[in-house]
Amino acid sequence: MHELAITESVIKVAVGAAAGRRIHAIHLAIGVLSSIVDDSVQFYFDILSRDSLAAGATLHFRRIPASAQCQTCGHQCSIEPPLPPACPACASVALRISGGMEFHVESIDVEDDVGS
Amino acid sequence: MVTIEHYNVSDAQLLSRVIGDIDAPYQTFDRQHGLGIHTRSLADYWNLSGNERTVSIMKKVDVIQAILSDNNAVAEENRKVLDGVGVFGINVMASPGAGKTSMILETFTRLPEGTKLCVVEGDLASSLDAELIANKGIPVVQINTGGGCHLDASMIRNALPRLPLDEIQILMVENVGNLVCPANFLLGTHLNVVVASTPEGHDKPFKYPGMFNAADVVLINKFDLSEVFDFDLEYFSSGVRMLKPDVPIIPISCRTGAGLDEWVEWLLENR
Ligand SMILES: Nc1nc2c(ncn2[C@@H]2O[C@H](COP(=O)(O)OP(=O)(O)OP(=O)(O)O)[C@@H](O)[C@H]2O)c(=O)[nH]1
Ligand SMILES: [Mg+2]
Ligand SMILES: [Zn+2]
Repeated sequence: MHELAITESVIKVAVGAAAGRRIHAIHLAIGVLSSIVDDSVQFYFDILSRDSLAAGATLHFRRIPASAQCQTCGHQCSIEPPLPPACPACASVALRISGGMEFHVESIDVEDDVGS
Repeated sequence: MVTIEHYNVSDAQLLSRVIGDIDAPYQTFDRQHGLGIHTRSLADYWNLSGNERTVSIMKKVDVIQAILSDNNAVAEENRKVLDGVGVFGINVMASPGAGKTSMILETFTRLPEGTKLCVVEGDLASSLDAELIANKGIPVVQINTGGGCHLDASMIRNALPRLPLDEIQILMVENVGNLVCPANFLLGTHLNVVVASTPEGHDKPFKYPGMFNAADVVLINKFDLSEVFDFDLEYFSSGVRMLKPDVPIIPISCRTGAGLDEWVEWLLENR
């Protein structure tokens, strides 16, 4: 459900950055631990962007992994939710998860006129 | 009119191709075929498209802006309002029925003389919780999200003028019962309290890392039922610590009162 509010924000941020130019693509960076459903965002986007400079633009989701580091044996691996119950190498529960919470618009592709 | 839909090359490269090497291959994005990338020379393209030479090229603009930056800005305003009157704001997040309202009421009865509380109640539709709270003589503003799954900063901004902020020290915001969405929306409060409860099971931090990652303190309510539900405190805690090694985890029971003094003491020390 919150994908609706998120999509509205994506459009607002992108249109703001486009400074009047037509937007062809929006590149989003989304950490795997920040729960966003891509299809849902795309669905809302197609409706909400209709009358804006972002109409018809393609959304690209760059999924940023989270990484787990074991405090006991040093093992490091990238993870997706759900979190692993313990270190896959040594079964210690002393894992530290970092990253994966990213949540921003990285860049947009806009139309820029050159030549004649 | 030639419209080149999309470029994977930088502006400088592109310009040199448009002006310079007309036979160099380049990539276009074809709307008809989705993500298909075609490589051919600009000369081919122009031959196909006649003589008009207006070329629209794509430019990549770096943005790097938080998706919810608008909400974050309003949250910052809210924070200033609260700081201006010396009110400590708490965002209470939990699943439906975990015991948010119960915890707020139990906290209220344990606050020392001179420390007053008021409440913002976020609810999908009803005002049941707000009535419960008002009946205890606690100032409360009800926000109906009308189906929305979370509170956002502008809802709090609208609620603040309706609260007696000059007379209170602590603002408790009961967020909509939901372990996913509220975590993304800053409200401008100072502290995120996540209320888990034993009937939900000890695996919640593993399944809802976004929520537990947002927690400044985790309360485990309904601890009177921990045996009934085979609740493994160690396992639960290991999940929280993977995300937030230093977050306090306090088992409580709004039924027996266990742990609540410890929680209120922690709150008063850390506000
Ligand atoms: N056994 C037991 N029951 C509790 C405890 N705390 C709350 N409850 C019961 O759990 C139910 C839900 O409690 P609420 O405080 O309404 O929970 P909530 O999170 O505010 O619920 P919503 O606002 O509907 O999402 C009520 O029937 C409470 O009496 C507890 O510590 N132990
Ligand atoms: Mg409630
Ligand atoms: Zn290990």
